[in-house]
Amino acid sequence: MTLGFVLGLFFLFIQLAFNMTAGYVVHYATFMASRTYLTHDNSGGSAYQAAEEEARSVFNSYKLSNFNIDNLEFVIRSPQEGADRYEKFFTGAVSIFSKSLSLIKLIGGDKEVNYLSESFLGKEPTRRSCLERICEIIADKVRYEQCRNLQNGHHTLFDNGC
Amino acid sequence: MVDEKNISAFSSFLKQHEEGQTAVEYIMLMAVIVIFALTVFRSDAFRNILGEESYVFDLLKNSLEYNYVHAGAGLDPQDFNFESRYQSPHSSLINERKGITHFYITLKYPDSN
Repeated sequence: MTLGFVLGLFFLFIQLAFNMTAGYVVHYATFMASRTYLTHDNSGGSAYQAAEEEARSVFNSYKLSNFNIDNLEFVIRSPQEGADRYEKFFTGAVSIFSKSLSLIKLIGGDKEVNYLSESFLGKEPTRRSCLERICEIIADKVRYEQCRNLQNGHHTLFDNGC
Repeated sequence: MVDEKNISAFSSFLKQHEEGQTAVEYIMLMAVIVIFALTVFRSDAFRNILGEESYVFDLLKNSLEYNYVHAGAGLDPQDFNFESRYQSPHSSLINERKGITHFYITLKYPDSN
């Protein structure tokens, strides 16, 4: 009994170590996907969709199945999601997977731990959006006055226009 | 009536055939150990602490889930529903216990004159 208990605790920590290792890799993949989503720009009308596809391909390039992660779910949260401004703050990549807490059922083995990885770096406006804003502010004197009075903060003549 | 001669003969027979005593003792000892183990494993105290539905491993599970998301110590159960998760304050950004955010701004740099 004592031997079984000691072995159970030993394998519990071994399993935790494997889970943490897999977790850090998933954190890294999620961050890299979020970074891709932040900067990807096709200057077209479907910028969010294209950025999501690119971020998803970056995430999948990390071969996470090699770490025995089978039930991995990857989600991109675009700025269009969420009803209020608070929710739009959570723009980026989210991934979740679950692993059993222990290899031995007697020592915590029936519990599944959910590992949720989040990276909310946001989404930059596309160059086309910046160009449109610059053209708009130059062409429209009324909106220029609004911008000068800081009543419309989306029009800034700076660097690439954003 | 019991014959004393027979008793004496039986006693000497037992003394001459003791080979099975060790095995019997071993079996009895194993039986005691098994009964003790089953009593312990089936007790409510054991199940609460180390069994399959123990609160100790529930705490460990909650701790692992919280630490993995927020990179800090905590035991609060996490909301894994993406529809509702981002509608409430996020523990990575807001310290609800202190009522402050984890962000900070620098004070205005003082004028030189």
